[in-house]
Amino acid sequence: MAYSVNWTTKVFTIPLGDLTLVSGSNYTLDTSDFWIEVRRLEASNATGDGLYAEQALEFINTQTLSGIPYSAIVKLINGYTWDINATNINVSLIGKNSNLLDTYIPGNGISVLANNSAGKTDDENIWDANLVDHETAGSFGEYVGKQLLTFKKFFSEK
Amino acid sequence: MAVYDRDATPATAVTAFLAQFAISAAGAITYVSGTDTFHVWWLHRALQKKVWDLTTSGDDLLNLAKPNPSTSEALGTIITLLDHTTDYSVRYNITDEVAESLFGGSVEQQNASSQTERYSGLQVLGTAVAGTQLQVIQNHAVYTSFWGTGLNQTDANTLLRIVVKTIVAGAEVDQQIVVVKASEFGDQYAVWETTLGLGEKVAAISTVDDPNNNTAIGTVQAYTGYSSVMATAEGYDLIDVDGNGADPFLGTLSYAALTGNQNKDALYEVVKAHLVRGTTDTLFGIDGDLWTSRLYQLTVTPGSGSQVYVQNEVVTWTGSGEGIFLGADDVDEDNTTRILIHINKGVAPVNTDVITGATNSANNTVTAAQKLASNANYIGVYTGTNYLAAEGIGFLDTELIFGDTVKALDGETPSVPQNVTLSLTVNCDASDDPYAFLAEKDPVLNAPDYNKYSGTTQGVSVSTVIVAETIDADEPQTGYVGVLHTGRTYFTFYEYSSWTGSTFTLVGTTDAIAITAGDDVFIAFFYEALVGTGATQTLSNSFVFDSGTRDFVGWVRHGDPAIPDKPVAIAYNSVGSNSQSLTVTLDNES
Repeated sequence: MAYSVNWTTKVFTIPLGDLTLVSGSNYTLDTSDFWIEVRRLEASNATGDGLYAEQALEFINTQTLSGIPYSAIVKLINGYTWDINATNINVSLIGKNSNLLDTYIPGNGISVLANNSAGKTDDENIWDANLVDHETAGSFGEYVGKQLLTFKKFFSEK
Repeated sequence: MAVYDRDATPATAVTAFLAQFAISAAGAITYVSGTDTFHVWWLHRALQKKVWDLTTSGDDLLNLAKPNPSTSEALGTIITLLDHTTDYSVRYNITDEVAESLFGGSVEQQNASSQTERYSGLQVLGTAVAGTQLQVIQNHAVYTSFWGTGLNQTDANTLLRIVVKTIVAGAEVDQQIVVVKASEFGDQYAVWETTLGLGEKVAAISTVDDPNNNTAIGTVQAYTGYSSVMATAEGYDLIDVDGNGADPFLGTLSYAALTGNQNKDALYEVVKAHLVRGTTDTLFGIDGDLWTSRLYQLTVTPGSGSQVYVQNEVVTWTGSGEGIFLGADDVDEDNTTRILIHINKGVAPVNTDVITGATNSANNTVTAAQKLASNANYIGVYTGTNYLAAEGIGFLDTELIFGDTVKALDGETPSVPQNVTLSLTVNCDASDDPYAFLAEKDPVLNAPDYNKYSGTTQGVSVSTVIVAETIDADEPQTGYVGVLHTGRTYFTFYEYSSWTGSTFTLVGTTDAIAITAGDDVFIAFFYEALVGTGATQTLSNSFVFDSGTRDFVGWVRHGDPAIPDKPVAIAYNSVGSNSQSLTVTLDNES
């Protein structure tokens, strides 16, 4: 399925099928998916799409400040909002920082849980980074490294 | 070389004449040696001098015993050599070679068969670029030049004075009509028709450097497509120059065939090259040397047969007229009402003359003849930017620009619209397929004017969109009309191919949803994918300038799910009568 859009009232409606089921009535929405789908819709001249319409979304890419890579931001702008074509579910936003909680149209018993946090970092970049970058004396990285139970430690302590 | 004009010193002129020519006892005047030239008066005076003398001298074998050689009229400009064959076995006459040394009037004589022959005086007045070699066309043939870049220029305004043989064996050569031409590549061309006769007649020629004809002729002749361009000049075509209906023209000149040189400069020079002095190229099948620009439009009565005229065939008409068939509104004589010809010989047809094609004898009767205001170079004046086309000459409408002036065969002078083009160039990844949207800006908001027009009630699946207002004159000729149908949450765009009044004519039809009166309607200049593939893609659209300035806003977007690009806003500000172009670069968003 695909999102439906009321370009006049500026509302994106996400079908339930485009959410990821976790369990029961708990779902997740990856904000990256939201970003990609909105970009596609606003760049298309197919009937019902929004090539003519005002830009709906702003994407601010990963930023590195003081050596720390901060997560990208997905941001609905220009008065656009969104809702979900479902009832009585819980939706957790995952992935990039976003303002989707702020732009969600509440109703139908749906709870949206934001994942934003102040200074959220780009976890992927950290986990993908070389260990050499995390061995500075006294750093958290050094501490974690020392606490890891390796095979070598396991057998030597046994 | 001395030039003895009418006012030369008699003793000197007569002496020089007798030194250069010999006169036999039978009256034959022949060239001996020398390069002097003489007013025809001195022919008369030299002969009179000899028959006044008691004795002959040298090779001039006349004396007082001989009959009167000549008469002079009109202040010595009409000389008649007398024929006394019957009584004295003396017939005074000159040869063609002698005639090449004469000017200023006519010389008439009898040939051995007692038939009249005449050399008529021709004076070409005017100014020409240095080095110009004038041509004289007589009876659809080039009169052999013996004058180089000029002869007998007896004053600053005279380019040439000669005598031309106009009556041979008692018959006029093409009714004594000659055409003087100047067609040197790099200069403006000139042509003048005159009818010679007794005395000296005048033709006027004026040429100056042509600032828009600077390419070497060899280069022009080597253009790809050179030999095929002139085919576009042939025939009778209907061309819609102003978008308000087609008008009739002679041919549809186009530079499209000039691959690598597809521009007006090249077309102009190619046409001129076909008509340059000494060319073997043809226009309507006529050798460029023999093109005299005598173009006529004939109104004719549809015939009763079923024969057809053939493009570029010879046509003849009453009175020994001969020309070339250039085109007709219908080549079937049954339906022909308008014929275009180039005159090769004779005078133009007149009312009741019958035009007959040589190939099939198709024929029609003339009811009116109109001389077209032609140009010696066929195409007309070219300013380097604009054509001021000769009357009736047609051009491919898409190659005309604002400022070009044309005049149709029906007398109409359709104006070339002042097209304003908004061009967009997008630099992007080679695999991208970006889309662009552009519309007129809202008068207040910094956004498209989404409700510029209001729809009127229309049914479903119709081929027009009719708005309540008169469509602005400066809306693009083609584009997309967006309609916010009542019941839909988005604008639906319909491509249109034309518009007039309040109606847009669609390429297809509207959706199966009605248009409700008051539905918002607006025009999108761009609403489509960029044209082309690769790292540089383009888009453009045009409208006809009306007045004032307008602002346009829009954007370029590329929503590829794999690698979307950052949307880029675009704007054309204060668009008036000048075209504008814009280049944007798309960046990957992640």
